[in-house]
Amino acid sequence: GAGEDALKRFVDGVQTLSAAFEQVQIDEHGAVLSRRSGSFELSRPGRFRWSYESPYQQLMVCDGQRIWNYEPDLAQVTVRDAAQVLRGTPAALLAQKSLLGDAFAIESGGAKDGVDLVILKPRGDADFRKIELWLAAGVPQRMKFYDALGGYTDVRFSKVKTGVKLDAARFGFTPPKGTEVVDDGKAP
Amino acid sequence: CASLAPQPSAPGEDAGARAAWLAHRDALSGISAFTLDGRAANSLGVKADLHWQQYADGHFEVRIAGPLGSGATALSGTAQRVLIRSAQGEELSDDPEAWLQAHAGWSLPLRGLRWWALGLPAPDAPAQTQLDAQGRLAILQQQGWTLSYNEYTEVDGLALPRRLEASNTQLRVKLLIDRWQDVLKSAPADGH
Repeated sequence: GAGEDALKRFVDGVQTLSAAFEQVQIDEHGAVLSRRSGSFELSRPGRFRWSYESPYQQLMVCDGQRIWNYEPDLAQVTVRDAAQVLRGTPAALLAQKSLLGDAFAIESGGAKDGVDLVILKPRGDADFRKIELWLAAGVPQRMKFYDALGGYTDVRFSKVKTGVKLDAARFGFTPPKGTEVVDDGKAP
Repeated sequence: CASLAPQPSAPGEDAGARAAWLAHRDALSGISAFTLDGRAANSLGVKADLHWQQYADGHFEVRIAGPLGSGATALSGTAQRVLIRSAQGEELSDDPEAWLQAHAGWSLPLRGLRWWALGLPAPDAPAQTQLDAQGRLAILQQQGWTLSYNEYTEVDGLALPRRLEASNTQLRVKLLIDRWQDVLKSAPADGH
């Protein structure tokens, strides 16, 4: 369908990408839970960097094998096998090598003004009710994650550049001294 | 490592800190409602955003969710009876901490946190305390948990915790409180 084609154009067409993002989280009563912003970088296959810069820092980095989830304010970083958590976050989703058919039922939400809406419905029990992804000519504009309680998290990208040269070091992570490293042992 | 069991009032704890604590405790005990936004991370590496609304009539609404709201769970009710809403639907529970452990694979000392998050021992349960120089809780042992208060922040002239750690024999949870809001002190009884 149109949704799958748009997603395919993105998965096959965009090898590297960098963007800024604004995120707002709304609960089921419509109240704003949080507003955050940061930057995102992607380098296929499977490498990404999702960095919240305000109001506080949190960093998610994946080199294709392992995902580091660093929380400077808690002086803790968790290291996990990339395959394990791949479906749960926008970065991991966007960095997918293949179509997401195994994890999601992909539907088309139609197109308007050249922007395709792709709707991803998780198969089996999942952390989200559904995920919406807007793509303009195969480039992500916005993502919405609908949580189990009826709230959602809305991520809007800006300053999107594709085909940019990204240094591989951007997708590795070395925990600063004094950081508690929690490794669940399954990471390669 | 075996933590030193602090004495109820550590020898040599200066009277000034103890007096400051009594005044501080009374001020904290007057807080009947508050809203806090924070982050919890436990020793298993599980992280969650925490939104806690405590109401003057004693009931609370707590929202716990992973990144981007994944696995969002809402608990509302009182310490005795809690309605839990999650991806699994709705369920009444009189032991929300056990429910969380069973469904989310980790837990939080919810019953105690209502008081401990304020830097206050829970009422009518034995507690051992160690104070800091300004007469605020540094270490609290209560109901099988050890709370260590690592940082305070000022909210409406009152020192409230910003960074604390709760640990028991199985689990250690770091809690960082990013924001306190609507901290309401109940009006003193008319007789005063």
